[in-house]
Amino acid sequence: MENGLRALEPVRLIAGQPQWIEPTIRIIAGIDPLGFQTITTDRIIPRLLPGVLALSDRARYFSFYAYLLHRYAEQKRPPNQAALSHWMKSREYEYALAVIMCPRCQSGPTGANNARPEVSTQPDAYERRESIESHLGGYGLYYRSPMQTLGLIAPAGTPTSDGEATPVDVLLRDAPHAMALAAAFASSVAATRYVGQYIDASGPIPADVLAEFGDAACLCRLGDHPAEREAVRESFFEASLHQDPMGVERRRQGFALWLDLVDAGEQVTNDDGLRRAVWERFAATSSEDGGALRATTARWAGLAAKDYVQEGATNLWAEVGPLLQAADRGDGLDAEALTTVARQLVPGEVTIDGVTLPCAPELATQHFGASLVTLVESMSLPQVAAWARGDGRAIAGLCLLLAVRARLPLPEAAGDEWLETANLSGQWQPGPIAFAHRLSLHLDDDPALLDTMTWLLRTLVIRPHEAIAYSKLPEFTFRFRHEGGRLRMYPQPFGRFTPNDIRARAMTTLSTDLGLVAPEGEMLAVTPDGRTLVDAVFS
Amino acid sequence: MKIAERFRHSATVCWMTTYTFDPAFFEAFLLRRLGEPPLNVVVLADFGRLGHQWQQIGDEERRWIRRANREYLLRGVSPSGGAFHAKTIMLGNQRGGQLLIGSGNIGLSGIENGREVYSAFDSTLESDGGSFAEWREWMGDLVRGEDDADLRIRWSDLLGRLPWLSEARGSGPLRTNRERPIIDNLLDGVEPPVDELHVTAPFYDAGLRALTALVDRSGPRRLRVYLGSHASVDGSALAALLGHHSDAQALRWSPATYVHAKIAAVVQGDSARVTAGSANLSQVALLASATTPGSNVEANVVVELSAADARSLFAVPGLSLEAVGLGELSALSIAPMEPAVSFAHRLQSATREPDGRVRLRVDPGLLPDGALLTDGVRREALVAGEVKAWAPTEDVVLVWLEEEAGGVLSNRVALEDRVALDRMLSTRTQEREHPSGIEERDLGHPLGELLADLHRHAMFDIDDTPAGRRIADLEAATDQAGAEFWDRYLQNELQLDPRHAHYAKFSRTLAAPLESELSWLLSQMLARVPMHQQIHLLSGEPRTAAEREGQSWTPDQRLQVRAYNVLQRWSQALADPRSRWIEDLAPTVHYGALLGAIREIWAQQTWLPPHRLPGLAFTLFSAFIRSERSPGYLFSIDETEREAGIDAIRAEEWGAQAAAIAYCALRDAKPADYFAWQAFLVPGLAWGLFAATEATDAVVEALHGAKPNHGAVDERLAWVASYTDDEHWAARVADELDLGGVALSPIAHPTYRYELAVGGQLDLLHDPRVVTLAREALDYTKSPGVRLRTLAGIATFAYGDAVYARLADGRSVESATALSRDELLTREASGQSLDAFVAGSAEVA
Repeated sequence: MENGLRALEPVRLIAGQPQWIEPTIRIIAGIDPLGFQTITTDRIIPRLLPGVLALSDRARYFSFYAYLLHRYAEQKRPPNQAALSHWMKSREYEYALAVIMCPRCQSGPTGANNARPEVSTQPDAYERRESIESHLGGYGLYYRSPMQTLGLIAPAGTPTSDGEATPVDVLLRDAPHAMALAAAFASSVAATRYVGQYIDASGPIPADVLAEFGDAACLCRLGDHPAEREAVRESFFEASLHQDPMGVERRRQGFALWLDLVDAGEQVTNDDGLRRAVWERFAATSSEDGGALRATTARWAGLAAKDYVQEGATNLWAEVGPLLQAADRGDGLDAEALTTVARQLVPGEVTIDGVTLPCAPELATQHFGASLVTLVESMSLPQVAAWARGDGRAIAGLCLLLAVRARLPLPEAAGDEWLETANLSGQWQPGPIAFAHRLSLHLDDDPALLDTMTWLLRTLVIRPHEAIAYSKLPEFTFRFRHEGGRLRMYPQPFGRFTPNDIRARAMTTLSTDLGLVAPEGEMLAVTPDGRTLVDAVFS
Repeated sequence: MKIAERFRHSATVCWMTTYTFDPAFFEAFLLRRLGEPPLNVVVLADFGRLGHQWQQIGDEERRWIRRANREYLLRGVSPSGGAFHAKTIMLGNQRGGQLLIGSGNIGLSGIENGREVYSAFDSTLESDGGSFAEWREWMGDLVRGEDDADLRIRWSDLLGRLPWLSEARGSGPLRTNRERPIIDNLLDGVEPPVDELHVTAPFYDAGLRALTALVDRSGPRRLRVYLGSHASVDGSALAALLGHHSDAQALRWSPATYVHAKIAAVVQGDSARVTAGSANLSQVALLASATTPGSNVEANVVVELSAADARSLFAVPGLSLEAVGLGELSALSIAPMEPAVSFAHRLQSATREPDGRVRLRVDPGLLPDGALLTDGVRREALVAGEVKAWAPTEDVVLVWLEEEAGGVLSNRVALEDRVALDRMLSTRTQEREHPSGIEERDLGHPLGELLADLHRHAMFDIDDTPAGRRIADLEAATDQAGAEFWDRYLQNELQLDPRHAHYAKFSRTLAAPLESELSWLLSQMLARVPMHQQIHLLSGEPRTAAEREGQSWTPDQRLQVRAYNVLQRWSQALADPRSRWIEDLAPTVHYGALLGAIREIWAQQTWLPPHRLPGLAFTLFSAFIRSERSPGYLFSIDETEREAGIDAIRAEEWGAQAAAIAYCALRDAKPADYFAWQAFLVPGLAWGLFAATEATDAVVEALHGAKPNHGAVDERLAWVASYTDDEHWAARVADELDLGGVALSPIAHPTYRYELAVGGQLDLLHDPRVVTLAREALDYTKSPGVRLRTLAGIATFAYGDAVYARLADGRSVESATALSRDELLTREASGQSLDAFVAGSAEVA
């Protein structure tokens, strides 16, 4: 080796000394490479279930945080977010210790990663620390936004009546629900030594103090405090001055639909089950049935339809990606390469539900589609989607997309509620109605399956991915990119991506916490309170 | 070094040069990191490479290119005929800037993913000033070499936004090949043999001439050639070269990686000289200056480093080095060149103007009949080298020239959107569209349009140019530079104003007729007889009252006032010596343009109040020639230049137009006005600046209604020029003869009807001015005789009578013969004084 070549220690640079460049971009996989999930997260769910995030799933945190914010203000602590963050995260950690020590539940509170190892050592007392690193802790990550939507808090920066802006998050004093929440939690834990002696102190907290606090305050104990539970329910389901009445109604409807499906014996504690149950109920009714239940079902069915389009696109993505990568010999792919790869994606036959359907690149899509629709006539759309997911190939995705188009109701027949969600497109991907429309236009040209596969790849995969990846820079999420007229592949994985959370789990835990459902063996049963809500919403 | 991190919101200027350009990446990443407008972003890329790229690009890729020539100017250039290969990035704002010189093109692989080296310079460091100065000179040359008004205005804008750049002095590590080859810069003062030569580059010329020259000229005892994968080099030739050297070795990076950096280092003892940048180890890059046709344009740095630092440069982070056997080198070969596509015409730019026209810059500009501009869908015919209407679009559109039959005539360019581009510079658009003093709404009237048209073509008022305004602001904001600096700066800036191109070819030969685009336009304008209710703009476009049906052809009073003020200001500016900074004869052209404008306006009868038009003409002539109180343009320049201007005016026959305007202006003038006019009318007539011809008659008819014979125009002007009264005559004579004062008064004498009282000391007998004074008085008064009264005595002159003088001491003298006019003229011409008349005669009682 040459003398001095390894002398790479940093040296003082002289003017103009050449240096090797370093990348600014960070190569990451990205979680939504085709831009479908954002439609669910950012456009549909906020309309269907405002104020409920995937992880804002424990009812008691709403009263706990209301109590903390109220206490912070009452004690006139420093009015800045940094101080609030430290204080909240400290209390969050102590609460996490208490919840983990609760013998009745296996809840995973915010800060569990820090708290659980401590608890496992069973110390006599616990040192103070923060729950997690993130600013404002679990409150900031999961509950702050829902509490704002529920009209309980004013985040820092909110204009006040005197023209100033709040310097720190505050509980809305003129919001009865908010004050009731804080008061109810305070009442529930008033007798604990933690609140009486330790919450505002600085030294270690005896283990038994936290255990006692857990007995009163654990996430699973909301049912022990009916007044507090009622306060949380009212925050969720009763209109108030500081929240959008339509938002309250949509939330009530969402929970009521879920409860009604539970009552009907549907398996809706997971997203896939909820999607299937909603679609099948929607498919079994018509807009003429009318009523709030049908309207709510139609809205949720729009979400399900969007996710079925996404499932089809996922199959395209997962199979075409590795083929494109294999086709690139280091010089990128020319314009013909996509067609060549698309041809590989169209096999000679496809078997669905034990029946084999002839299939070929030159076969007319209309002809293939007609045979497909007949073949899957006895299957529900969720079943077709489940088959496609299990098959995993692009051709299965194509079949699912043709099936979605065939099963979508006519816009004019499905009612406005269906259009409210099915008509929502994302920045990069079409919603189900827009997709079906584009597919119909494509089919008007009487394409062959190869044309359709190529068109789908361009429409749902190539263009959206490039667009999203550009928007993510400097995070480099490109799997491929057009450069100088060629499609250059990058060594990033093409895996399946699952549909986004549609809140089945959150509604399950929240409804359980709020006493709207109760376990009944392996199943859940709707409680009288839950039935009351359903009746109130849909009657 | 993280290049992208240097693209920050604080930058208001971003100028880049590159060989290849990745617009999608640039727009999505780098451009987004810059701030909001006003923002001056220019990308100069290799013309051929950019054309090739536009040719290859498909719809899928084009959809990610949304801002080229809409938010930043993207130009293909090839100043030397070879590759425009320099990779430079200038980022800055009013306080300072950064200059990056390197090997990576502007794109993902060039500044993010690639194995590239860059050097950075900071304007706040004194040691880096020389590199900024070199970049400024290099870029200034490039800009001036491009016949590109849009590029010029952005360069001018850059200099205004980066005031510190003009102050940069000295030399620094940056070395372009604008004058000398990079190899000369590297080996200046290096005495062979050197201890070591280390080189790496991804491209070598076929005969290894560049590497051989480096080896021959440095004579290294040890030679090391570092190879990345896919290096384009004749492996056998390289093996042979290394094989002939006693201590030569090829090394490659492992794992095999494409390395795009170009570095050469000569080591002598503990120190080394290193060059790095854009220049590959090829003949056209390393061995040639950009003045050599077909050579590349390159930008490198040349720095002095320690030997250890120089060697360590070849250690690519994350890679190790391993020796390559000479036998392995034969696997290497020169990469095939992409087939070059050439076209009959080079389309340099296509600009959609706010009115929908598309202006083209094409070389050669003479296009076949039926040539079209197309984007592949739309096809628009070219009329007089431009497209009359092209619908606006929100997308980047690639356009090219086609034959009517569909044959491709040119490369493709991204259509420029003038409105969008100017919006990015923000403050510049309005400045260029109309003169200050005229408001936006005025442009809706033909009078406002006419003035705006003139303003777009010429810089009548230096203070009303973007450069003038900007420098005035800068001057007010800083006390760090003297007037001389600002004047020099302004002179440079004026050269960069896009309107400057209209003056080109002016002063190559002062005596030659005006040959610029502007003077050609003027001649077109002035060749037409002005018409009532119709005007022609300088651009040749007509405006008629008929087109304005339902709208008044007469401008409102406020526009009349504003227009008058602008024309007055422009006329007065003719005498501004700074106007000559534009071009030597610029004031002459401005004079012609203003003659034309006044003519057009006068013919409309109601566009300016009639009483104001003579005053406007007076300002024009007095500023151009002279007034009673101050020299105009022609009286403030040297004789050679004056003759050139006068010759040009004669050649263009503008004297006929000036005579018509002067005639109309003097139509209702009072004798009291004549004297002020005489200041310019007298020399103007003498020089032929007022020369009535038949063309004058038609213009007078258009302006005045009556059609006099041009002989009458000449007579009238001559009469005004010579008109005088006793007081003015006396003042003139006193002035011309440098007398203390002269007063003319009639006296009651049948022969000596006038007496001239002369102030101050005057030697009656011996001062020859007495003779001239007497002759002037006799001519003016037409009296048979005149009497001169001075402190030294009196003298009388009368034709047919003796010349007589009586001195203050009581002596008297008288000529022996009677005075004749011939004698008087002869003696005056020979400078004789009164004593010559009376010599030999007896003293009389």
